[in-house]
Amino acid sequence: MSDIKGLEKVKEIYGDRGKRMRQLKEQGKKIVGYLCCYPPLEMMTALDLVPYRILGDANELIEKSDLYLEDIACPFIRSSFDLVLKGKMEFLDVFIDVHSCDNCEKIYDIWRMAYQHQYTHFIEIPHSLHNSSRELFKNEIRTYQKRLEEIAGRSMGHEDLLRAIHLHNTQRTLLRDLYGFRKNEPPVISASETLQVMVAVMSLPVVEGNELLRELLEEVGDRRLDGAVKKNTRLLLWGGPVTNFEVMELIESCQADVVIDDICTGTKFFLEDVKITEPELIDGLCSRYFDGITCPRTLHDRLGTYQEHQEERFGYIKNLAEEYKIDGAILAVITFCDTMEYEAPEVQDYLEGLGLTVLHIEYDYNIRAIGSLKTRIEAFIEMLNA
Amino acid sequence: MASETKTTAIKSTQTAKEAYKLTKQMYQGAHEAASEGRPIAWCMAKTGLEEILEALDITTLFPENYGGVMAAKRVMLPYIEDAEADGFSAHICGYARCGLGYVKKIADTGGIPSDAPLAGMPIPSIMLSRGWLCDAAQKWFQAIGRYLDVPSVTLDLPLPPVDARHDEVWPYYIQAIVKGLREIIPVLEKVAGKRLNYERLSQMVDTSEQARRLFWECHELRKTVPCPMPSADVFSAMVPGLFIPSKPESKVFYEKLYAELKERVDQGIGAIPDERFRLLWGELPPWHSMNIFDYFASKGACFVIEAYYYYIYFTPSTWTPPRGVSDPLERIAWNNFGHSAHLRKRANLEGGSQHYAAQQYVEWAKDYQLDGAVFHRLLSCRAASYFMKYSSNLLWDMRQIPSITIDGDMTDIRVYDETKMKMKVDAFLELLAERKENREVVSGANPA
Repeated sequence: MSDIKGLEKVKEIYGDRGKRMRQLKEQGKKIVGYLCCYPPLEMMTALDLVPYRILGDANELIEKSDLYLEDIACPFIRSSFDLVLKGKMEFLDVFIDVHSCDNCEKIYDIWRMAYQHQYTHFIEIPHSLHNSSRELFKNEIRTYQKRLEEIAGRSMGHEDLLRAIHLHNTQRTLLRDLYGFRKNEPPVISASETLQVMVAVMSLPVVEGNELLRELLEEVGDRRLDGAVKKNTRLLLWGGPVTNFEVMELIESCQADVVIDDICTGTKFFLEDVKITEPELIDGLCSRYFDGITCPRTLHDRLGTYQEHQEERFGYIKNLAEEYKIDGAILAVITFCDTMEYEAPEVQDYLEGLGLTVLHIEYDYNIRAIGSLKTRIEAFIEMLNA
Repeated sequence: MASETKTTAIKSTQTAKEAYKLTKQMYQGAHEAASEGRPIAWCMAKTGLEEILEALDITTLFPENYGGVMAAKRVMLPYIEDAEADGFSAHICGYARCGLGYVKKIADTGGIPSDAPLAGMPIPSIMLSRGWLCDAAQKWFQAIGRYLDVPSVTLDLPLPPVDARHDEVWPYYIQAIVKGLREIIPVLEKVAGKRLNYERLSQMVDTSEQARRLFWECHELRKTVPCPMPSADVFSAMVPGLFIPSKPESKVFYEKLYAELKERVDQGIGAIPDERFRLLWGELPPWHSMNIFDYFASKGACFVIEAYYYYIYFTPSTWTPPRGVSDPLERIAWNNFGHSAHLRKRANLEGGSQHYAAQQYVEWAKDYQLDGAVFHRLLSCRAASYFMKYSSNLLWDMRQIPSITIDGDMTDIRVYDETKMKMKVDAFLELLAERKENREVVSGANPA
């Protein structure tokens, strides 16, 4: 890697996500591309496989994937698949998919047949939080472990996994610390910078990602604000995967700061740690990935009142809202993301119930299509400031 | 307001004409239960809970079915628009938007809307969703909480991927489904106010298996040329098998249907007078415009088989529990898991399509002697439409079967263009006629 550090390095990696992966592949490492927040990364790291988060690019037109997919499929998935078909992730040895939502599940057969990765694997994830479902997930994670061991050509020892869990928990702590700088008024690091950090971290092996985050914490911590930065409206952004910083820039250009998010490429990636559960580390791992990710794809039975149910599902958003002192929220749903499309009106009810003002928008993922949202966001910010 | 123009399809068989009576009975039964204070469940189709609910005497309605009824009566738009006005995207499931609009009207007015077909769906004691097939099946009932404070529970029916090591993973999948059923039963017993009688449940499962086997045998008869029953009939005839499989009238219905079809086959009578083209119908129909099937029939095109979900559900060779399995819950687990799991396993075999949705189409192309396929791309249903382009490509690559795609929706008529559809269909049938003619010339069947 070059000698540049911190945010400069983040921008370099963000600009060429595959660069480090290609170098590692040349050194004989196996690169594992994965979709979504659900595949346990610790098991990849424990076997010296390199995790790489597959993301779309909202700056690039979707072309090749439309030969295989209907255009009513999720545009983020279409874009991700498109990049693979265009040979932009040619370094991937392995493709790991999960049943997080319909779009992720239904792409699997099409993807693995259209682009022949050396290895593929799919993890079924039940939707309910029943014990039977939890047990099935644990069995699926054991199957996933076996598959990774075959790919790595060795078995995973207890110490390997323990070390990997510590490394990934450290990364989560560092990311939480970095996000902590956004609690400041004004935030010390912007949302557009933070998103680039997130994307960069998902494009590096965990050890290198942690090193980068330590550099960033030092760099950002040294920033002097001294009232030089204008005080903006503080927002929470809720939605699916945001992959391009231009989305954040658009909001920032409306004199608002996204100070906290609840998105797939943000806090959903790191809010919860893996608990160390001895003697079976897999229990803590399963618990974190099964219960700990707050995605609308997971169903909480409603046996009490609706209000209790809302607290159980969205209480964590209230905590974030209070911690980061938000003035309002934008719910930005990517078109054809069914789980979010059903969830957004309920989240809106909940946040409005807390006295917050909410803007609910649906957009087509592509950057070229988001410009039209600017007027709505500006009007929303004006309303908040009125 | 209901449509004055005819939107239903002409039914070919007498038995299919009688299916609507069973639908009406379902709703009448629910209204009686409501007036007598007996428990009612709203349930997603294919949750795997049908027999258990029946054995517990919980009257069950299926809001997906009700969405279809609303569309068939052409009263759906105000409900759809109400759901959208209250924040739900126009891209979510058309059935769900009907259902969400319906409960919103109840919440707004305090009662069942006066224009609701079949006097509406009475408010349930519990809602039961399924953790498979589509995201809508889970999220819809959850979102209903905005309007009705009714308990809602999800049952998972997990499925392995096509390239799984099936023999290794199936045991823990079945175990999870059985355990999931055991976890949900106490909740249902509480709603029912009684304990589940497992002997009675076994009898219910017997009846369902018999009814579904009979329906499967009806489908086997459809392989005959000319085909004795078109899709238009099946979309009515599937009601008992899908929604009330363990009721005795379901079995009686399919016995009667089978007898009628057998007689037709024995006498060489087809569903349409001059069967020129044998077609596959890909996915749910436009319930608001079922007369589309009459248009095809008028051109000599008969839909001899339809959407993979419905058919495999009734295929005994793929759902029969292994020998020695007698526990009713385990039988239910196999009956619901087996069809899709076997399909996936077959897709993974040499010569298979490697794709779980396309596999069935590829098999049918041969079994049903298909000339072509029509895919109804449901703009609000990713579960059904996601694979259409890929399936269409595979049908061509593996079986040289051409297909067309018609855009539409099962309930939302606003995205359906009848004129455009007819133009597309005409061109497609011309192409099929040409292919047929060329084949006949090549084979020497038509020397002219």
